[in-house]
Amino acid sequence: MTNKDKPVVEVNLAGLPPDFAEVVKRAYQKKPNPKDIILLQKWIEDTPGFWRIFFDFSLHNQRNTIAKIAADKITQASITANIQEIKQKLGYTESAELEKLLIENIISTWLRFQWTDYQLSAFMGKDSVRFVELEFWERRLSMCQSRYLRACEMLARVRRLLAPRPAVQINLAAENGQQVNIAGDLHIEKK
Amino acid sequence: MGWEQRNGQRYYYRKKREGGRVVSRYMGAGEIADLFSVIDRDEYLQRRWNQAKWKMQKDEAEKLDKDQSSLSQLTRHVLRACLLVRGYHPHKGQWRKKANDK
Repeated sequence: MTNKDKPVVEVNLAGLPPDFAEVVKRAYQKKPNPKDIILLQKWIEDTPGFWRIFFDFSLHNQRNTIAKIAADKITQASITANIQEIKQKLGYTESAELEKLLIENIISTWLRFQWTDYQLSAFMGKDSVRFVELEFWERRLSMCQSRYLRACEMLARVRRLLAPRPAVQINLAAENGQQVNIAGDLHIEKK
Repeated sequence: MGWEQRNGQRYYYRKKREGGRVVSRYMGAGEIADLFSVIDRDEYLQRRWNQAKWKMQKDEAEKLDKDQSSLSQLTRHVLRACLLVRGYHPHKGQWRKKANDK
């Protein structure tokens, strides 16, 4: 049985409260109803295996894409090793659950981007290229790239928001009554 | 496909759509016509095969897109839920936290 013939395993999101997305949409506004926030907090803290549901879904997605990229086990193992390396670089192990989920999202979008890029490259090497097909893959590649960049941006934003760093602003008096304000944080880059 | 019978004799024509109408081009009769017929049939089958293959690739890509889109959406929901619970709120596309909310 080849990887293409393997049936797609349906992911079980049953553990998630059915109106989770609906409540998030309702709460995502400038002045949300506090009841919705309390409900979300209760779900996050009390739903058994809350994070596991998303990690499983993410893993399923990644496995599907890896199987599409390569049918042989050696290439699959090499891609998996590459993923582990990216995770390590992004500080997966020491990250909180939310950050881990965002890293998984980066991996999924990265894999998808790689697969689409590979498809387009293989397509360009053909003797005859139909414009419709070329346009299809180029559009997809651009979409995957945007998704990948958005996923990276999401992690960067969350890390910046949730990092316990003291903010600092220095106001310097300049000539002619001017003032220079420098704002930032006290984070020192590790070399 | 492009065979036509006239006065008991079979003639082979190539048919092509040009500017909204079908144009017939006479290719011959007898053995040479048979050869053209085989070539055309082969090209037709090749086109059909390519079309089917293209449709399969397209469906596969769209299926993966759908899965990826669901995952991204779900991740966005979880991210929003977590930040809302931590006291952040959206403000003009940015996340803000009240100054007194530690």
